[in-house]
Formats: sequence, C-alpha cells, structure tokens
Amino acid sequence: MKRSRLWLVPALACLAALLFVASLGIGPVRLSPGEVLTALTAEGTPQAVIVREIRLPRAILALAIGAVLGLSGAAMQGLLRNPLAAPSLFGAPQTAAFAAVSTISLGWNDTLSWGLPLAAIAGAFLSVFLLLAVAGRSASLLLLILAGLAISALAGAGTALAMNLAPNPFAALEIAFWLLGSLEDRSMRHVALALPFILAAGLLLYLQRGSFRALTLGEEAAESLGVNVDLLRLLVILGVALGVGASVAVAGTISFIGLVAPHLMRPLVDHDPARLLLPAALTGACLLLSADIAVRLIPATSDIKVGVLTSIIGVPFFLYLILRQRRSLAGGVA
Amino acid sequence: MTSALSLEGVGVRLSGRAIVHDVTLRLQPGRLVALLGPNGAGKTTLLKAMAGLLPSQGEIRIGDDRLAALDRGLRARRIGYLPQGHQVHWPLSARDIVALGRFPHGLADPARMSPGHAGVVDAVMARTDTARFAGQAVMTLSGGERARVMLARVLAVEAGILLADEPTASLDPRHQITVMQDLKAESRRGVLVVAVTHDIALASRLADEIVLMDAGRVVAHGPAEAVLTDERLARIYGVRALRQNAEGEDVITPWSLA
Repeated sequence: MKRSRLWLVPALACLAALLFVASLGIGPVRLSPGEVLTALTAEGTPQAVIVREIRLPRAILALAIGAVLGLSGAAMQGLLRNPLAAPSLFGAPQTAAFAAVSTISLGWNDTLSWGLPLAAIAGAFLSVFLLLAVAGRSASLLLLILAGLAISALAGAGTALAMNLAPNPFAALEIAFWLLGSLEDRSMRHVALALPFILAAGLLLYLQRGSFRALTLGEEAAESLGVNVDLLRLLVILGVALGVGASVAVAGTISFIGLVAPHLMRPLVDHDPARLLLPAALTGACLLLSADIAVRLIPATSDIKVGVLTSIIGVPFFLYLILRQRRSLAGGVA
Repeated sequence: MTSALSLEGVGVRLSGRAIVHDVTLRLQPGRLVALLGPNGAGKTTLLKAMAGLLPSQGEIRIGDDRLAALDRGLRARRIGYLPQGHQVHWPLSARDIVALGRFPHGLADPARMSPGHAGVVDAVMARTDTARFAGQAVMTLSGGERARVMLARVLAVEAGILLADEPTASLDPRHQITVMQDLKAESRRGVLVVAVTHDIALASRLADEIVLMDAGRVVAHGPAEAVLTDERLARIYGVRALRQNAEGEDVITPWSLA
C-alpha cells in the first residue's frame, strides 16, 4: 500500500530554496551562490545592493505569490471537488486587476499604496463570491466555467474601459504592461504590501485541509461529519481573494500556477485533497521562481513578462487536462 | 426507557413547499427500522432532518438532547449519516475513505492514525469484509464493494444512531442482502439503524420495525405484518403483494399491480 511520501515536502522545499538562491544570482550581473550569500550579509558593496535591493524583493515575491497561487488552486479544487477548478479560470485575477486598475485610473491609489491590494482583494472576493453564488450549491463544472467566463469577460471589459478612459497613452500603456504580470523592479515596499495578506491567505486555506478531505464524500456527508460547508465556502473565498488579490496588486495577473501546481502533485499524495495543499504551494513557488528566472535567461529584444510565460505554458496544459477528461466532460457528468 | 431518537410534530419545508408534515415517532436503540414509501413520499427529506442536515419545525431529540441544540461536532459523533449514491470525488484508498469516519473524533490525517483510530477502522473493515481492498482506490471497486466501503465509513463514526439513505439501491442481490445483514448486525450491537429503502421484501424480512410514509406523512409504524397490509400496499404503492412463509420467516413480495 502506498503511504504518504515523507520525502516529498522536504524535497520540494529544498528545490524552492535552490531556485530562490539561483533567482538572487541571475541577472545582468551573474553571481555564484557563494557570492549571493556574502552579498546578503555584506554592507555597501555593489553586489549587496543588487542582491538585497533588486533581486531579493523579486525572489521573495516569486516565492510567496507562486506558493499562494498553488495553494489557492488546490483549495478551490478541494472545495469544488474538481481538478479543473482554479482561480484564474474563474476570473479572480482578472477581476482583481480590474478593481486595482479602476482605483488607479480614478486617482484613488498609486501603485505603492495600501489601497491597491485592498481594492484587488475586494475585486477577487467579489468575483469568487459571485461565481459560487451563480453556480449554486451543487457547482457543476459547466456552470462554473460559464459563470467564470462571464465574470472574466466583464472584468476584461471594465479594464478595457479604464484603459480607454486613461488620461494619456502612457497611463494606458503602463496599465497594459502591469496587467501582463511581472516581478521586475519590485521593492521591499511591494513585499510589505503583499506579504501580510499572502501569509494570512496561506494560513486560512491551510487550516481547512481536513474539511477538504471530508468533502471527498460530497457536501451532505461532509456536513454529517461536522463540517460547516457554508462557512468553509466563505473562508475559501476569503483565502483565495486575499492571496490572489494581494498577488495581483503587486505583480499583475499571473495565471495558471493554481491549475498546474496541484495537478503535478496530486498523484504524489495519492489524490488526497488535504495532503495536496503543502506540496501544491511549494510547487507553485518553484514554478513561479523558475518562470521568473527563465524570463531573465530567454534572449529577447524586449523583456518577456513572467505572466505571459506562465500563460503560454499554462494554457496548453489546460487544453491537455481537458483532453484527458474529455470522456467525463462529454458525458456532462463533470 | 429513553428513545434513541424521538420526533414530535416534525415538519420540513423546502423552498416554501411543505415536504414532510407533522411526524411523530419514537425509535429505540438496537432496532433496525426500514423507512418505506413510494417515490416523493418524503423519506429522504425526513431522514436528512433526523440527521440535522435540513432545518425542521417541531422537535427532534437524540436521547435526552434536542438535536437543534447540539453543536456540529457532537452531532457528528452521535449520528452517522450515509447519503444516497455512494459519492466519492477523489480516488482515495478504501482505508482512507473509511478513516474519514474518524473525522468527528479528531482524526486529522489518515496517514498518521493513532492506534485507537486505526483499531476502529480495522475493526469496521473486518466487519464489512472490506479489509481485502483497503489499499485500492475506491473508484476502481465495483458498485457493491464501494457500497460496503461507504458502510464501513459510516460505521467508523461509532455513533449510536445510523441513518442510511437507500443503502441497497443499484446493488446486485448478493450485495443487497450483505448490506442489509450488516445493518441488522449493527443494530444488534445496540445501534438504532434507520434505512430508507424500496426493497419491501428485504425490509419485511429483516427490519424490526417499518415506518411507512405517504405524501409527507407517516401512515403506519410497527412490525411488517401490521404495517404492510393489503389495503395500504394497494392504496399507497398501487400493488398487490404475495405473502409467504419461507424458512420460518414471513416475506412480503410486491407481486402485481393492484
């Protein structure tokens, strides 16, 4: 009998740590791991400035955002009992982006104020809440996808309107680039802005793990086992909104980590939706750290945004998942 | 003697429509009770209300306690509920599924079970003859095997009351008999078992009491011969029954349209 693989979490944590150090070393100025470690503790050297002020915030954000996106995906899949559920398919990042962009173009926020993550979190909360309200209790995948499509389209239209009404072309361009999703030129200020919300989201979602396992038997059986399914649904919406909203506020829209990370880990945890959470978070962190390293290594005339890369990898992966589930989806069971 | 489960004037409304009306019942521990009635009679709704899964009017008591006053955790330890359809959404192993029955008792991770929890899980799997496929993913099991794993799951709760919604639906005859006999055996261990079923023959043979429902009301409650009269079967089900005595047991089999 396969039992929990005890090596999985430590191995993923080591991989994340290695990628984190690599992320600190890669860029126009290449630094070896040894130089990175010295730079982290040294004062005043150019290397110290590069590592601590330019690359460290970027690496911390990649780690934290990747982790919370992976965790959010696993949590939504656990709640909805569906491997195709992910915040980005249901319009959460798009709505968060719309909320953030509107407050910027209305002049309520600049990109470094506390109002920005709050607006993005509120947007994400509203979208997930609306989605689950529209889909109802049984939450068939078809309904969720259609409702998610409508919500994304609405948020996209709203964002387009905000760009349309932007006071000047540069503002519109700035919004457009920001929407692509990037971790470039982020400071410790951004880290301070997002990290508290991301940590809260992580804790909130991780604490629900037992309930996700009970939900394997369906909502009624889970209720009979003592799970408050309505409260659980609300807490998951809140957790996902905090994580996705805070991520979007500092990094723009980064999609598909929440879909890919849980899927990669599920066979390694024997499909247990509770044991999946931590590995999915670590995998999300590894994926985003790798993607953010890759955009610095890919030779291109203009910088490739990390959000573009995750989508380019993520969408074919999504198609592959649909292909694999074709039979059950065609049956309308979902 | 205190009833294990008592209902006093219980009614249930779903989206504004009254589904169950004024049900008063007293059920004793150690009995296998079959809840019978045609489709739409309100059996499942009543069972869910008994499980505390649907809000109801009137009063439901578990022993001396009001059901509505019990907190979720306590309720989950005192009532085991087996829903219809044996739903499983992720391909967990049979043993992990059974271990979910220990969730109300604080089992966090089935991979790290204390000897106490593991003892209960192994015992119920032995009783339901499911230990053979403990490590197999539930989705790879046959319908009958899966039904028994689900039964083991609800037994692992070790509640004094077990409510089962159509536990024998869509099973082959062998598994129908196995599951009903397992439920009977559980009642002999002192548990009150209430099972919704359409299997009049099996219910009349094995159940200690029959509760017959029609149009949201309890029409009769008592031993099978007293409840399942020709007149009631004709009026409620629209069928005529064949009555036999085989191997010393009275059997009532629906035979033809009335």
